[in-house]
Amino acid sequence: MRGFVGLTYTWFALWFMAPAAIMLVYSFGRTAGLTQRGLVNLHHLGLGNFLQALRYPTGTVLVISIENAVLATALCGLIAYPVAYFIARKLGPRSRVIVLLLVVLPFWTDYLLRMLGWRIFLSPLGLLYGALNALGWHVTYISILDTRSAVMVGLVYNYLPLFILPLAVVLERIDSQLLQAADDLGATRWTVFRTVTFPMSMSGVVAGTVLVFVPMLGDYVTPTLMGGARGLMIGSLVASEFTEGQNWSLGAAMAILLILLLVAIVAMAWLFVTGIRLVAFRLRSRALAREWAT
Amino acid sequence: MTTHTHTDDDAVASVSVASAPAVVLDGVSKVFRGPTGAKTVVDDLTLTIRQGEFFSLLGPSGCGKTTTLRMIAGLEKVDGGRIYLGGRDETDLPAHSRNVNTVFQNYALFPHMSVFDNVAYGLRRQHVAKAGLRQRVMEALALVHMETYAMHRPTQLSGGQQQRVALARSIVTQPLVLLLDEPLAALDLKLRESMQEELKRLQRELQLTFVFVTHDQAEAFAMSDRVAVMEAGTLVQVGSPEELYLNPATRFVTTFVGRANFIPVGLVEGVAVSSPHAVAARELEDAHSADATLVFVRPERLQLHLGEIEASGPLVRGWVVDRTFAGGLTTVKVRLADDVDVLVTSDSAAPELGGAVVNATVTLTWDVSDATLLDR
Repeated sequence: MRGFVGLTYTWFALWFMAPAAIMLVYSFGRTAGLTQRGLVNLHHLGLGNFLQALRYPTGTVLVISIENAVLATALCGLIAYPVAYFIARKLGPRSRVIVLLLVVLPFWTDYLLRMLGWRIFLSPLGLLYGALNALGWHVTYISILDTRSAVMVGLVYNYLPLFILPLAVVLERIDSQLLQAADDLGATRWTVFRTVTFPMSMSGVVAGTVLVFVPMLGDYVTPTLMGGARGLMIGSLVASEFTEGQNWSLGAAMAILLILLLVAIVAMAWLFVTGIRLVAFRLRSRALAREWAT
Repeated sequence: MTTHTHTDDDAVASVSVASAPAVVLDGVSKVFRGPTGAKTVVDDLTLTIRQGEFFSLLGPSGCGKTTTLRMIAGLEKVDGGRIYLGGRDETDLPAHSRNVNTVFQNYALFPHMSVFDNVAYGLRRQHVAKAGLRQRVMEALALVHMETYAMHRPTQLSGGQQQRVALARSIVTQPLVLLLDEPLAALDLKLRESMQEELKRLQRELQLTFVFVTHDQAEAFAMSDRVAVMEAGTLVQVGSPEELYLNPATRFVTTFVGRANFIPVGLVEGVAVSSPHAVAARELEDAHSADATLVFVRPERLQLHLGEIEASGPLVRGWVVDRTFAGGLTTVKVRLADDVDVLVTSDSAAPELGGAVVNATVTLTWDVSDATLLDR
């Protein structure tokens, strides 16, 4: 067991920590000139890349990216909750396995194929517009393909299973005796959900949010495939520095900034949630103590 | 579904709510349908529980006692019969509309709420105003000596403490009936005994109706005003602990309640005969089968005599195979012919015990009024 844990750490260090460390080092370097050896010149370390990374258009793209990721995460949550609830609390153990399998089934098809499938579906000659036309709603001349809306569709579609799975696990683990106890104490079905099921599923909502939001913010393939030129997200910008720009040190600096931003967002969200709980708890205990003392 | 006639419906309905029995089960049945077929877990159960009574449902696991409790709570639908709570037919009401609370076997405290919020849960569902709510929650917690733990989480408490919180949560709304589903089963012996006293005290002080489910006869007897013994989904006998102990209705009740002796006898010309020794028996008309009957006697109702003595009353003879000293009382195991073992409990200071060593021949006598004839 200990050997296994050691192996896990080694694996993690080798394939995650080491590349991240290399990126960190690169971000302080300078892109090698055409005649120089290697990708990044590390003889003159400095913060120049970071200053350049903060310049236009990074800020604008970053704001759009955060907006996209927040909105798509919220949509994922809204869609995932009823689905996870149905899977975890309404299905029998056997049909539960089948439906969970269906949730992850798209992952068995190549990512590019699925995205191209969406492009065909959303295109002016595709199924969506065909259906809308058939219903008498003639909107052929507006295409949502290659817009932010298409990016949103792609993001929600791609990350939805990552929200459903942890949420379904948490919802399934809620002891049904607790729901019976609430019922027994006078709570209607909606009140049982509001006061017991939903608060107890918060850890699943938080896990789903983090699992979906973090990779979404850095995603560059989905925006490129679905949004084209108008669907630019921060990940695309970073990727283009590594590929077209051939400026690895600048790309590394942008990546590091993105990581720091994500850490900051997650930490702030965590502090916010626990902080509110702590303050509320303190206030209530004090009020109770005062009352009980008199 | 049930063949039970509802002749006493009018009587139940006409009784004023205040004096109506807390719970009336009228021919209640429950069938569980699984992949392997239907199984009747509660079969045509009729039972009346009075207000302010400490009532126990006693029986081995699988006898339907917990299902009965859950049907009273409204957590389980009935498949036949009616349930009256406080004189009103509430058979079709959901659990949250019934003025009945349950203490679950593993407490079922809400882990995401403080002890205070757990206890306040029922009051909040009744929209009790904030000031009164605090007062009542803290009073309920004080009643179970948990007032200093109001802001703790249930996971920070020991099993016994969680048990107390669960109790406070169920009594704070002053329900018509409090249902307790083996609430002491998870506690160790010492804690269980103190909780038994605590429960009795609470029930007396609050004058609530308690319906207590247990498989532990000693527990049921120590606490209850009346006990209902259940076997395989049916009610076997209802009565005070004394009645059940002294006049058990069936062999099942005798074995389930305390220690019992069964002495096989045969009937010869209207006289019960134990082979090879004859015994006189009373109320021979009780014996349904003429040639295969058991005499039931409690160990402490048998008298032990040394040697082969003659007596005017019933007697059996045998030899001592074992003796167990338990403080004030000593139990002697006597083997009769046909390899039937009988236990005799005597005062440890009794003079005849001195000679009752292993292999000694002894005669056992009893008073006919202490014995019951049972079908074999």
